[in-house]
Amino acid sequence: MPQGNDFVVVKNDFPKIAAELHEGGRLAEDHAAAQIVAKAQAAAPVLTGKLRSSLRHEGGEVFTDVSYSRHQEYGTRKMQAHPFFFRAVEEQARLFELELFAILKRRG
Amino acid sequence: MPTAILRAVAKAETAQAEAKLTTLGKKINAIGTAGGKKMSAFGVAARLGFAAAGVAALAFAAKSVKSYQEHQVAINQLQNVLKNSPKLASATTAEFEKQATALQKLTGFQDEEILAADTVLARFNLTAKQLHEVTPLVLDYARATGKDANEAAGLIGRALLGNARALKLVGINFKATGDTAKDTAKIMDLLRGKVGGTAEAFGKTAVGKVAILKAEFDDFQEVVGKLVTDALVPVIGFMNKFLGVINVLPGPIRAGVVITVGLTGAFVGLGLALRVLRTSLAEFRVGLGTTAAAEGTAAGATTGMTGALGGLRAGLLTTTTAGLGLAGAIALIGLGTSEAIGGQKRHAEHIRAVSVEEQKLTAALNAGKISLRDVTSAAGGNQAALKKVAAAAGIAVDVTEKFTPDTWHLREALAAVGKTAPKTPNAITATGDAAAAAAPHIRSAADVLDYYARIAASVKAVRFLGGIPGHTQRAHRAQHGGFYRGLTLVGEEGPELVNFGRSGAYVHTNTQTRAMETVIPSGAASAGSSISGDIILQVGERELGRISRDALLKLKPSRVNLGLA
Repeated sequence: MPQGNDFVVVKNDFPKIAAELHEGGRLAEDHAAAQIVAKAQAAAPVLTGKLRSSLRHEGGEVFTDVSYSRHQEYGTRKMQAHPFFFRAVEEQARLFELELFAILKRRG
Repeated sequence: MPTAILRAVAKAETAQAEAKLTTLGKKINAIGTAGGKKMSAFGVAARLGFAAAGVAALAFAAKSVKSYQEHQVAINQLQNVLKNSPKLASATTAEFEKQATALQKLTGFQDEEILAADTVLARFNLTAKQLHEVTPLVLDYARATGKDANEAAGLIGRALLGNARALKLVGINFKATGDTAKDTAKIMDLLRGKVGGTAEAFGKTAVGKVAILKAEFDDFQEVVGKLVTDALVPVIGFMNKFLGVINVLPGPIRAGVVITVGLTGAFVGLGLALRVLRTSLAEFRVGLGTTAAAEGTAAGATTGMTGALGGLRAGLLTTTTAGLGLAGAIALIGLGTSEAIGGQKRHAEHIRAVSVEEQKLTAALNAGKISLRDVTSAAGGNQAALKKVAAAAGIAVDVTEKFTPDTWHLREALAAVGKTAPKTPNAITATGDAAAAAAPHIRSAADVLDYYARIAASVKAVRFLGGIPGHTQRAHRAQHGGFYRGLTLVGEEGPELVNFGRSGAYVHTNTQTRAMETVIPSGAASAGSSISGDIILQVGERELGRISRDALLKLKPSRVNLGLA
């Protein structure tokens, strides 16, 4: 088995790709979160618009801080459910892997 | 941040992949820096060495793994013989490996060939000292008679036992006396006189230098192969452990588990590593067309390559300059592969169509819109079933006729879904066993990738078994009015979490359930931690496995076209 000093390195992009992977993953998270917000806003029930405008994301995290959002999402004994949040999440989850790859391919 | 009432986290699990890629990058750099010779690129002489070795550039990774494994096999075989030979019990493979490396540089025989010859000779009851003396003579005999080292070792070994017919080939008439020690010494003397130094003399010719270059390049492949193998082995071990653990978890929780352990990272790493390697080697191919001036510089930096380059030019090129000749050869390769590339694109489109339809079908299957029987019937060409599944999955396809070339992708998607959809929760157990059984049989990078593709497919199935906590189950209840084993959200007065376990159900009140949503911090959704408001989006292992496999499939036509030697 030859030792290392017999050879030189052709091209070593592994460290660069590791960095790209990190950045690509971050972009994919951000993109997915933005898509979830858009889809959830489109599906959110609107009376005053407070719930819809409360949907936002920070990085890959999507959230709403409106107290009655869970009642709309799951329903109550007096009100039918209007699922708008996790349905958008599930829908985006199916696209996430493809979009991550699309981003990595564009960067690669 | 204000208190989130509903929240979800999109997370690409890339940390492990980044760590693996960084480590691999460091190891590769270490090859170049160990001798203080770090360079940003191979010298042109070394690049020509690639061609001389007849190595298919774009299949480099797979060949490297194979090369490394062949070396390991040669070592293992020798070790086994040494262990079982009383006179060689104290000998080590390291000393033979050292001699083989030295002889390789002189004679052009690959070290694996020499080790294999040692393995043959070791069976003839020689001592370690005798073996070290006979091996170079075997190589001389092989070069003199045109036989390979392995066959030559067998013939000389028999001659040492008294069957001296092989010696007549080189003009030696020898009659055994019956004293093995004396006969052995005499035969070695006679061989030295007749063929001694033949192999070394061959190594000094232009052709011999090419052979040496080829052998040394093979060693380089072994180094790369070891790196690739080292990077893969922990992943394989991890996969086996992972599948073993996941089998014992309740179905609905499996989905929450699949993930966070960084499984996806391993696949991303694998796929990207291949892509990077392919990109690097594609650049290498372009580099073959560099000018004579660059070649001169590289030849200066690569001691002892000049003669080999002369032989290469004579053997490979017909035009006046090496640069033009290689550039021309590459142009021809380009023309020859254009059709193949077109085919690859069509193939890629087909695969993409299959993948998308597969996802749609699986979604329809999970949602209960179609049954597994519908899928298998449709795959078999049943038009009613085909119509039903196409409508349920939202696939626009003309189903008035049986499958045509334009709709074959749908048939493939149906067949794939039919195979991977779990018929019973126990299906994953079989997959785990099959995966464990497959591990010892991995022989090449292609096998490894195929192995991962299959495991990845089964992991996807696991996810379907569980669904996303709190959602798939809820949808199931809404549509069928029944319940799903494991954690399920129910409740007419707001969500209540129920565990439909085997020994009875436990209902968390709506207040408790809501408390769980708010108390469990971000990222806490994992095995045994009940349910949280977080959902971890996952990279699909199946897609990753498939992309890795596609990357390898695309390498094959190039390997054929680059067979220069």
